[in-house]
Amino acid sequence: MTAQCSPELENMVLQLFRNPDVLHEVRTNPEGYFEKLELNDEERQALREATFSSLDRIGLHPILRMHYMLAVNPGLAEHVTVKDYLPQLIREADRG
Amino acid sequence: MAEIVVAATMPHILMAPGGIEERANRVLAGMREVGSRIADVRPDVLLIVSNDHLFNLDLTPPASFLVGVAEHYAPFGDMDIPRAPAIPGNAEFGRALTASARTAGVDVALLESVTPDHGIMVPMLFANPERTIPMVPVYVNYMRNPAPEPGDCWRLGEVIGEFVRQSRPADERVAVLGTGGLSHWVGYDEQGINETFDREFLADLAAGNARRWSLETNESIERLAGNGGLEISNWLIAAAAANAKGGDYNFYVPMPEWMTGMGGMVLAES
Repeated sequence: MTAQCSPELENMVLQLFRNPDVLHEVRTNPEGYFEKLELNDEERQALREATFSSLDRIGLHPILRMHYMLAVNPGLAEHVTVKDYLPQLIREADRG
Repeated sequence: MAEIVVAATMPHILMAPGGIEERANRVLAGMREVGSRIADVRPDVLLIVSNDHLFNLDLTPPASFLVGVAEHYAPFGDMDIPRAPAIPGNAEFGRALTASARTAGVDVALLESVTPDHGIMVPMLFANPERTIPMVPVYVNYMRNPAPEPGDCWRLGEVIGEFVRQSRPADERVAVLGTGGLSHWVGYDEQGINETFDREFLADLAAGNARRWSLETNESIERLAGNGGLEISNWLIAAAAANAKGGDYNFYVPMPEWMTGMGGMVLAES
């Protein structure tokens, strides 16, 4: 049975892309931030591992797993983007 | 009576094309075609059906469906989607639709403000590229426990269609766009797609058999097409609203590199 995600963990991930300070903390001082939020050892280990499976293990919602992975995995963020298409789409829109 | 001048469906993500340019370009061509069918008819209102990806709502939103009633929508900006300009809304349409849907017994709440994520904005890149068509976002709340079933979504679609045809000003021209899908699993290490499922679903919609999918369950859809595959119910809302008898145009490109079966359709109305 999947564990139940703690409110502290759930709220942290919900805020990752809504609050720049949270994103900054997770990216630059994760251990200190996890300590501040009093996340338990299992949660901290899963967040360090940073895989979909580890995040599933601690009960994080699937979409929030994606949020966390986008926040801590630059390669994933470079893959899940529309920026390659924007110049062309903007040109097409300007031409009407 | 007002008219649904075009109804369509399309994916609501794009990803980097590196190494898969040929298939990525086919996806782009499909999304351009579907989007242009909406943009070119210059509707007065674009009702777009999607789901929030937890950039706005939390895990306890208040209803099965939520209707945006803001006068403007500034995008959230995920996936590097430009945040400006904002898109105009139509609060009066949204409030009237919500009232009508509640009267019909639909579990729906007003959404006073929202910053639309890729679920709205990627389709908008194609259907409303200049961001000038007023939009009314309708969100399906898959976070709700239990989430609305395909039958609930079909019923909302019917209510939307009745609302437009029976309650709106005679000269109002409405476009309906259902977004998302097709098969994809979000948040799992082994993320594949189910091409068989996707093609079967598309074939049924193209043949005018969308309604049979309203009899499916979320459990069966998720088992076959992933938690992301539940978004086919966004398509069912559009099909039901339009009384769709088939599809005029459709595309499908399996994109395992994007973890998604990418499909879209312009619906033929009855």
